[in-house]
Amino acid sequence: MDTVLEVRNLKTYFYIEQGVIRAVDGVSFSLQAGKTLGIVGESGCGKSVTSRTIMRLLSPTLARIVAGSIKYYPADGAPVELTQVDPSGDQIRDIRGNEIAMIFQEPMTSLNPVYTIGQQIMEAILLHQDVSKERARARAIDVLRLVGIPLPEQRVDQYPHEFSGGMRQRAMIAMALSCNPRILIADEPTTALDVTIEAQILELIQQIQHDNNMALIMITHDLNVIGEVADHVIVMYLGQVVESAPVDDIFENPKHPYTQGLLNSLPMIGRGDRLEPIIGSVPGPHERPRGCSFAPRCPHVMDRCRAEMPPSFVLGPASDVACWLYDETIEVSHDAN
Amino acid sequence: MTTFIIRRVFSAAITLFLITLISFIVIQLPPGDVVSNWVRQQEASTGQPLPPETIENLRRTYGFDEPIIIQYFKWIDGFPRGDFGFSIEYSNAPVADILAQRTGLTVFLGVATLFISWGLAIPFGIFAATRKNSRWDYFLSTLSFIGISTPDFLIAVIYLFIAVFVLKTDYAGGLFSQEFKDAPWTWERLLDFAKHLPVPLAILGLGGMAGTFRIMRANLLDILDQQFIEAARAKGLRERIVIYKHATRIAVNPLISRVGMQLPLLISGTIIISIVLDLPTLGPPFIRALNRQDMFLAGTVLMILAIFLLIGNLIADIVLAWSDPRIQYE
Repeated sequence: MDTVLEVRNLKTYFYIEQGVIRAVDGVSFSLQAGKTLGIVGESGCGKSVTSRTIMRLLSPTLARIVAGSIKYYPADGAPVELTQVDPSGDQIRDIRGNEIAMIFQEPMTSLNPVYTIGQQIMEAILLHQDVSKERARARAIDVLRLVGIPLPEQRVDQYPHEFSGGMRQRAMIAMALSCNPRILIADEPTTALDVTIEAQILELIQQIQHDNNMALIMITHDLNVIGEVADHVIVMYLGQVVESAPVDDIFENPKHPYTQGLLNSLPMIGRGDRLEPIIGSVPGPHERPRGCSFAPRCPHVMDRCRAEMPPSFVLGPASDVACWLYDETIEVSHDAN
Repeated sequence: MTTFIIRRVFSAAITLFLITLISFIVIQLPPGDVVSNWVRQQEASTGQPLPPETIENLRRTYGFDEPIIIQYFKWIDGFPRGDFGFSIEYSNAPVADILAQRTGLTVFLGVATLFISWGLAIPFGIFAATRKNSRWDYFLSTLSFIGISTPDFLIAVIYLFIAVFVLKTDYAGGLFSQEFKDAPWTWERLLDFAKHLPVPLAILGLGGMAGTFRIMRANLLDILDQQFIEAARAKGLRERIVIYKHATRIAVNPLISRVGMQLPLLISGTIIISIVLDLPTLGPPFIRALNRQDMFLAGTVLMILAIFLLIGNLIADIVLAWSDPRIQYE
C-alpha cells in the first residue's frame, strides 16, 4: 500500500514558565493513500498537538519536537523529514495547504471575517498554483460546488458571516481541497455542528477522499465519528498511544482498559443498560503518574502499572496495545523498527 | 450608503442643536455672569464701585437682561451670517475673528498629530505583538506604561526640556515668531510656521502614542490567537502575509472607531500642552472664556468641539463600514 505519512515515536513538549508539558509523548502511526486514520482521545490528550506538529504550526518558542520522526512521502521525489524542516521556511510552506491541508474545529472562527469566501479560497490556489486570477476564481467556484454549496457563483463573493455554521465548514473544506492535497487533517471538523449537518459533512469528506484517493487523519473525541469514517484507529491518552488497531477491532474487541472505558461510556440507541463512565478525570499536565498514565483510573490496575510504564505489545498484524495485561505476548517497542 | 450618510448627518444636526443649547445654559448656571466678572475687574483696578445704573445699562446693551432661552436664540440667529457673538474678555471682538485662525491651526495640528502617533504606534504595536514576551516587547510596553501614566503637561515640559537643552533646538514655544504672530499668510510666515512645527508636533504626537500602541498590541495579540490565523498559516501563507493581511487588517478596526473619539480629544485634551507651549489653538481662549463666563466664546468653542466629535465619529463610522464587511449600513 502507498504510505504517504509515517510518524515514529513523536514527542512534542511545551516549555512554559510553569515547567515542561509533555503534550505528545511517543506517538507512532502510518497513513496510507485513500485510507483514514482516526485519532481519538479526550481533550488534552495531545491529538491536536500531533496534527499541528505534522503541519509544523506550533510556535518554536513554546513547543519543541524533542524526539521522533515524521516522514512525508511526496508523489514524486525523496521523502521529507518534517521534523527537520524550518517551520517558517519555503519547504514546509509548499507542503502546507498544497499537499497536506487541514480543517479546523470551529467553522465560525476558521475563516477571516473581512475577506470573502472566494478571496480566501483563491489565496491558497494562487499561492500554490501558477494560474491567473480568473482561473483561480473559476476553481474556487468549482470547489464550492463540489462541497455542495448552492449558487456558488454568488456565494463566492459573500463574507463568512453570511454563511451558516455548516456552510462555513463546507467552505473550509472547499478551501482545504482547492489544491488537491494528498493528506487532509480534520481536527474535530464536526464537533461544533448539529448532528444532521455532521452526517452530511462526514459523508462529503469521505466522498471527496474516495474520489481523490486522499489520505485522511480524522481527529475527534467522538467514537461515533470514528466508527463512521476510520479504517485504522489510534487511541491517545495523555500524549501517548495506548491502543492502535483496525476500526472493527476497536469496536468489537477493544484491548486497552481505556478504550473499553470509552466504549462503555458511549450512548447507543437500543442499548438498555446504564452508561458506565470512566472513573476520575484526566490528570493535569503536571500530575502525570509515574507508571502507566492510565493507572489511577484503571479498573484492572496492578502494582506493576503504578511503577513501570507499559511498552507497546504487538497483538496482531496491525494492532498493538500499551498495557501490562498483555505481557504474555512478545514485547516489541516502536523504537526498534 | 448615501442614505446612511444622510441619516447620520441629519441626526448629527439634531445632536449639535442640543449640545449648543445645553452648553449655553450650563455656562450660565454658576452665579454671576460675564458682566459681573468684568465689573469686578473694573472695580478692582479703579478701586471704586461702578454705579448700579451703569451695570444695568451694560446688561441691557448686551441683551443679558432677557431670559436665557431668548439669548440663546438670538445667539444662534447669527450663525448663518457667520456671527457667533462677541467676546467681552477680548474687548468685544467678534468670536468668529478670535477663533477663525485658531480653529484652522487646531485642526491642522490635530490631524498631523494623529498621523504621527498612528504612523509610529501601529508599527510599534505590530512589532511588539509579534515578539510577545521578548525583551523588545517588555521594553516598549514599559515605555508605553510610563507614557500613559505620565500627565500630558509633564511630558510636554520634559520634551521641551529635551528639545531645547539636549537637542539644542532654538524652539521657544508657539507656532510663529513674534513678528508673524498676527500677520496674514505669506511665504515668509509659512516658512516660519514650518520651522516652529516639529517640536510641538513631536510632543503632541508622542503624547498620544502610548495609548494607541497599547491598543494596537492588545488587539493584534487577540487576533493572532484566533483560529483563522492558524488556518491562514495552514494554507502555506508567508508569516508576513498572515500578520499584515489577515491579522493587522482586523486589529486596526477598533483604532478606527477610536479616532472618532480622539479628534476632539486632541483639541480639548491638549489645552494644557497648548498653554505650556503657547500654541495658538482653541485651548487657551476656551479656558479663559470658561473662567470668565464669557458665554458666546465658550459656547462657540464647545460647539466647534462637538462638531469635531460628530464629524470624527461620522468619518470613523464610514471608514469602519468600508473596512469591516460585518457592519451593515442599514
